[in-house]
Amino acid sequence: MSESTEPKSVSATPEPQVHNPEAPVYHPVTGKKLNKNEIQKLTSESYIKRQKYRTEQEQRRKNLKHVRIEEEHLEQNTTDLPKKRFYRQRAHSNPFSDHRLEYPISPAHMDWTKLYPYYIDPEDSSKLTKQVTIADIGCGFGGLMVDLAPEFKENLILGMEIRVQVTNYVEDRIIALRQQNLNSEEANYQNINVIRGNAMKFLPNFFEKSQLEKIFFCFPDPHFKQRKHKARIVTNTLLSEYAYVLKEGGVIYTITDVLDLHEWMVKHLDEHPLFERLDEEFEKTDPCVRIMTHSTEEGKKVERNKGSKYIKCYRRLPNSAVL
Amino acid sequence: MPIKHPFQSIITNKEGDLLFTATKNELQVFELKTGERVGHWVDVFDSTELLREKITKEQQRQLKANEEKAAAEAKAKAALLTEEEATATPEPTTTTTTEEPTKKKRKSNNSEPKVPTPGSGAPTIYNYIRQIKLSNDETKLVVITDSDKAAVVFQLNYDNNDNNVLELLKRQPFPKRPNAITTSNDDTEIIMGDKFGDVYKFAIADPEIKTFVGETDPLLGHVSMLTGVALAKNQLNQDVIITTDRDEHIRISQYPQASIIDKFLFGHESFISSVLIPNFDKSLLISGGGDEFICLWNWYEGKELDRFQLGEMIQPYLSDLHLAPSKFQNESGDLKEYCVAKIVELTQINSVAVLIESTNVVLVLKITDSYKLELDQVIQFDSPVTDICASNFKLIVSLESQENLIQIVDIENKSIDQEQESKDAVAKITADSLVEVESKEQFYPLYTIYQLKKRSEFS
Ligand SMILES: C[S@@+](CC[C@H](N)C(=O)[O-])C[C@H]1O[C@@H](n2cnc3c(N)ncnc32)[C@H](O)[C@@H]1O
Repeated sequence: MSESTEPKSVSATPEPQVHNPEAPVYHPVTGKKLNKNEIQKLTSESYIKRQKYRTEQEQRRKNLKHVRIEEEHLEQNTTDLPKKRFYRQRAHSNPFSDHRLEYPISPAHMDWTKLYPYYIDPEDSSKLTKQVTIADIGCGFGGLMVDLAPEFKENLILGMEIRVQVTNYVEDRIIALRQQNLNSEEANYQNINVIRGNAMKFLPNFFEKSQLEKIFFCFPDPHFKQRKHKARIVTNTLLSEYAYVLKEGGVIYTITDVLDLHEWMVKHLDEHPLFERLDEEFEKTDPCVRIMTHSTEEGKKVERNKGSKYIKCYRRLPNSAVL
Repeated sequence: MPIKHPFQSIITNKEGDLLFTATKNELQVFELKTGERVGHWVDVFDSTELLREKITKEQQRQLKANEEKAAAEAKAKAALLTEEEATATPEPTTTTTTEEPTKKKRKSNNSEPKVPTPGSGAPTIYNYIRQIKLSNDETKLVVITDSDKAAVVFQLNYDNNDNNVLELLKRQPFPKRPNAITTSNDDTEIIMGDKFGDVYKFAIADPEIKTFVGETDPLLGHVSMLTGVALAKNQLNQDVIITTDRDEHIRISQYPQASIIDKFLFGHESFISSVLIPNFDKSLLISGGGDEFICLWNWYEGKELDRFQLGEMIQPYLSDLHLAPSKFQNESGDLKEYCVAKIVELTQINSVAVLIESTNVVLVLKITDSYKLELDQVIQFDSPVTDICASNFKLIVSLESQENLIQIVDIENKSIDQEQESKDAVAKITADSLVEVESKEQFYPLYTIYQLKKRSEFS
């Protein structure tokens, strides 16, 4: 499908009128009546700046998201890395609500060529020459993928993230990285990309049975309250879905700075009949463990705060282990 | 004058001599030949008691939360002051706490959480019997109740002197509201799927009433509302469990080793409300729900064989009841929405009967030798159909009607049974049904499947 190059009308920065402080003010896009705080927010300098930045980045993303980046693109576009502070969003997204998420009807309906255009099959341009085999679930700002990219050049890596703005940031980050490293031998970042999605509901819509070799859960949302434990991304019932998309011998990586969550994940993975805990020797020698310990944004924050990091990895057993 | 409450759900046995019905919180069993009522059970469990308990608990929780919040804010203020005093190196904050970190002081416009009290405008809570199912050997009836979120198992005892075949065997409550129920292939276990996607099982013979815990006890789970659960045997004669959800999934897992997911049947674009594996060919599965089509699958191979489009053919049978809510209506205001409420098999004629919710019709679709779904007949009734079921010989529909609560359809002729005996039975069942209300306004919800449609805003 050809991407339209026409700029889709992106509304200009909303500027509510404030001549008469008593007159009601409405949101320029949604038409909702605004209260004082909202007016203040919408007219603040930082808000306007953020909107402007987002609009520009959106345009750039539209133009470049799904194309093979060639030399010519570099002249027309900035190749700066995106600035995280413009992509701020509420920290939590409810995994149970039915966001109007886009997801494929089935893995066969998934068009991967847009995400990894360098790997389009020359024989059949609707397909890639390889499949995604590494998934970073709740990838946040994408630091893990960026560091995995040079280490796993032969693999396609996908980050899944539920928050829109965070996903946009990662998309912009990957566009910039691809531009900056067009001819790099070490890493051209063509093998990583991100998708907005709810991994707790729709993972099997994206991945075939046994497609994945590695799944990462790095610093998942802790959902402290007892009532919210079902919202945790590792539960005994969800592990069966992860086992479904993982191939035999594939590995689940977990890391967190929250001891309670660590114990929770270990307990459920230990109890699940299709997973086997990997030993310390594995943790010491596996390159992914090293990378995930230091490369994610959340991990870096923990380091700055001198927090602890708890790691455990599990291998997917064959189904015969259960029967 | 009191009026008869229509049956909300009905099932029959293979021979077609018994009709099991659920209306509000009551079960009634009728002999189909004579119309004689041979069983009755009223769920006397009073859930208002539970509700009160719940509200009190919630009140306490919120009051406590308010207190804690106030304390935390006071503490934060104090901390802020001391921080200003002690200018130099602040302590490194560690995030390894196992408790929830106290929230940052919220913005001023955030009011205190409200303590709930049920007001007069609150929506009515309907506690009804949501699904009824016969065991494979037809010796037991299992139902799910809203009142105490339980599965209730009855032994069907025909030698009872008190003229009641329903003998209560067991009542097993669950943490969340049950939404679907079935028995294991060997009829020793009950399998229940709840509103929040978890599926549990228990043995009928186990005298213990379990306390299920959502964290550890589910057999399997979807992060979605569970809309159906069925057991079957795969081509290797192994037990499998088929679970369906509001997010278009039909999942097939091993049973009881449900941690092994075998496959998904992908193709639906809206919720699933009904799946059927017909006895005349157990490799087939027919599914429907919010989509404008019905799917025919070879589920052994995970292959879609055919899709029957309802689109054009169903239009004449839709009414104003199907108009989309104004918020989702089109400009000309004529957008109609419909969904599949039930699919049952008509074994004798290699067909299925399909009920489209809130219509007066039942569609008969034939499965051809080349595995296509073909429209065979549209059977029309004079009132809206609330549910359908079928024995080996008859299709039975329950109606929203004061004249006849049910109609019996002869499968061979695909028309209402004209035999006097059958007419008399229908009349007797209608006259004898015990569930009555003062007016139509007091009917419990008869058409609820369309509510499964997902209608979220962009977020
Ligand atoms: C605490 S962050 C960690 C981000 C990143 N892995 C890191 O270590 O920096 C957890 C992320 O998971 C995302 N998330 C939570 N639930 C999710 C779901 N069901 N599907 C996809 N992403 C999810 C959140 O939006 C959030 O960005």
